Amino acid sequence: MAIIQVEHLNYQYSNTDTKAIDDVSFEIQAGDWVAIVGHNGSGKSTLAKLLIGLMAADSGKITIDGQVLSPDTVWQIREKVGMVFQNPDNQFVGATVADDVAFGMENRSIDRDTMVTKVDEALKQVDMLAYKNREPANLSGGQKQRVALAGIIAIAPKILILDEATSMLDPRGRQEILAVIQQLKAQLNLTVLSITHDIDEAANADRLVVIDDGHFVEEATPEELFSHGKQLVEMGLDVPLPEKVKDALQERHVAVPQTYLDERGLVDWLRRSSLNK
Amino acid sequence: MNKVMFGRFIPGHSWVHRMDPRAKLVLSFLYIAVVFFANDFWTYLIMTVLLLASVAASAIPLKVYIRGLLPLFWLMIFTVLIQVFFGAGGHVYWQWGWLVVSQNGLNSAGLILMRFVLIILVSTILTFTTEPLEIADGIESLLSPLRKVHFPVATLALMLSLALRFVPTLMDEAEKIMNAQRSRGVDFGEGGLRQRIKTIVPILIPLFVNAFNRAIEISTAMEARGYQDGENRTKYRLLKWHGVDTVSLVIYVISLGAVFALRYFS
Amino acid sequence: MATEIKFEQVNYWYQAGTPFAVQALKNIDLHITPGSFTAVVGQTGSGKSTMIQHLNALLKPSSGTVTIGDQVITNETNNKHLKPLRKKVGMVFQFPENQLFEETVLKDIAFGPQNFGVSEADATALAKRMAAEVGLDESLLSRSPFDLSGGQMRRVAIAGVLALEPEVLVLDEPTAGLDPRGRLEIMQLVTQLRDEQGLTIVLITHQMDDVANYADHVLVMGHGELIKQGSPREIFSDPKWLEAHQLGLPSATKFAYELQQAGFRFDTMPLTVDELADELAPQLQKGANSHE
Repeated sequence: MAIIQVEHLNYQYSNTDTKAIDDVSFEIQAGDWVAIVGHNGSGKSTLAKLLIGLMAADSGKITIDGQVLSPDTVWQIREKVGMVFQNPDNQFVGATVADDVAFGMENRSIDRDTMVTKVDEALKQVDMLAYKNREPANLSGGQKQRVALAGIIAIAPKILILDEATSMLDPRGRQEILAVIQQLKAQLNLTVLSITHDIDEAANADRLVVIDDGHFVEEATPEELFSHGKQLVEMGLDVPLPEKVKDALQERHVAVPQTYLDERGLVDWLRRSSLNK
Repeated sequence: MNKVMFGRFIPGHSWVHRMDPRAKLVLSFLYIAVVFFANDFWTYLIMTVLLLASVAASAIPLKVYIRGLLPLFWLMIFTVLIQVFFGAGGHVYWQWGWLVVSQNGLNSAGLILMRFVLIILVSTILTFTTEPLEIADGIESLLSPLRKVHFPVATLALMLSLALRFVPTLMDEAEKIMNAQRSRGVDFGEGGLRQRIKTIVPILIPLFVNAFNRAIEISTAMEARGYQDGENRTKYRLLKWHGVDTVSLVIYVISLGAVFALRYFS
Repeated sequence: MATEIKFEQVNYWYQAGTPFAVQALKNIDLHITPGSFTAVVGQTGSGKSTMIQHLNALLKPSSGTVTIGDQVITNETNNKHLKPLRKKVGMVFQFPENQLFEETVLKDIAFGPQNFGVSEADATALAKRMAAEVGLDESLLSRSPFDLSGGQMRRVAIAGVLALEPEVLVLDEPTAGLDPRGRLEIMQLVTQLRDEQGLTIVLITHQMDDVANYADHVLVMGHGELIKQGSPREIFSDPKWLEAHQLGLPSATKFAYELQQAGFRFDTMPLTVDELADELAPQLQKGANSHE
């Protein structure tokens, strides 16, 4: 069943001539991980904000978990969605790690005893319990994003939206966050919508939706999309290493398979065509 | 740079550190109020002993407190001089035109200096031993009766705590912008007033623009996390009144009561 | 004369002389030769940012000496003598778009040179040249920098530093937060500045692929110390050491190690995809895909 349904969505910023979102429609099934990709300025982040009513669409219909988004349902819909934004600093509103995790629960008027247990549980899941009383100034970007995830675990939403949540992190922080998200998705049976131009994050997804200049371009599996090779850069993604290696080999007159291979697949193919057996 | 000690929190586990911020706030205000009733040697002695005992209970060396006073040195000198020259009456020691040094002048200068130092030190105990956030919590809790008259206590407290949360972030940002502009050849703190004002623009504009963008992002994030009405929220942070608070309260009430007694009944 | 930078036994303490003093740099000795491309790598908090602030004397060493060109800087050096260095060593900080403030793009780029006594007319001409250099369209020059996209703002900021006409350009993660296309364009610009203008480049980065693709010298920082330096080949020749210091390998090198396990031979360990393909091609059947 589709947990997120977007139909003919349109949005235009008041100070611009062109639509930021132009007649976009797509569906996301419950339990799926879908990545929305596109280069900077393609309208990805606008889309994320429209989905939970942080901005109101000019026209079109958004249905989340059976509820049509409207001013009457927006707060109920936000109960079901956890969102992690790009800048780790600008979503850390608590004075300490524990306070920040509790923020979403305080907003939902959850009683204190429940909060106390849930804060600890959530921090444990993202491996930040030891930092419970730290202030954000003493945390790295990756740690702050883990705290943001803990805040989401604590409210147990059905949907997790990641709005370029790893783009300001160093490679290590990025990997840690991705590992945590994978684990959470399985544990909480989350539907994940990640807006990204990180190839590793995109590779984690079941399906990719490509957006360009506010238009829906295509929907594909990572394998299908990654076989586009160099064109991926125009879609706001890096070229995966196996594609780069295949290109470089082709330039050296080695005939290479046209289908997409992941690293494992490329190793296998290289081994089969090796001369030194 | 960065040697200012005044208003800074110094982590620790002393008696005073462990106290409830509400107790510390109330006792500090009580102390400051009673300072104005002290008027002779004995009352000042009690006030001083009480303060030194509190300093000792904070387990922070006195010299750190003294260093905290240094930035206020010129202000103290200025206040003292005003009192010396304009507090007329009593025996005149020295006179030059309208400048008079009299007994009353010296007395009131001494009193003012004493009050000044005591008030600064007692506030410094509060800020050295209490995290800004705890102070905000304490204020919120003390103001909570005002909720009955629909005063937005929780919203104000959240604003205060958000402001405190972003002070280090903004300071950091200001420093980064300053470094960037220095790298582009801006000299800070040099030249005349006009020159100095000119060098502030390249700092203030980016700082303001960034703070504004940041505020928008923060409010978006808060809304996404379900924040809609400041007053109907539960609270995670809890203040707890302990034995140390009761004991401290008793000591303060007895000492400050003694000051009153000496002033009005001796 | 080309500017050379030398650190000798440089130590730096933040908030020296207070109870909050922290040592951020410990006994750093290093040498940045004119025309080189130096990459600085290390964990967040390893002292990289403190180190680069010594390169244009934003910070003076607490002890030891920093020599920039013919000027020696110690703790006692008078701040008044430091300004000319800022023109010699241009500094592009992380998220440099946060330093823009002028009414128009052109004025912002022309701001730096005027602080060094260049006339407004000359600075404007310089700004136009630099805007073209970083690939900003002329139609943008009269716009407010705050109306541009993030990627464009970053170019404006870089042009503003280039307008100082420095000999050394220091860049602190210039591609952070950009999409892959933006990253590629900025790195192409940096190499072009080195190759065509002869600028000395110092690049702080977390991207080991960038180190492998562009740098000729690497400084590895850890806990305030310079824990290793050498050519990218030297640095990446010891994967175990890198892992122990929580640093990665270039993706091509990592892949080559996997292939080594699978029976491939490498005379020298490849650092880039091209080097990898050079080594692999002779070991493969030309019509390999006929086996599919």
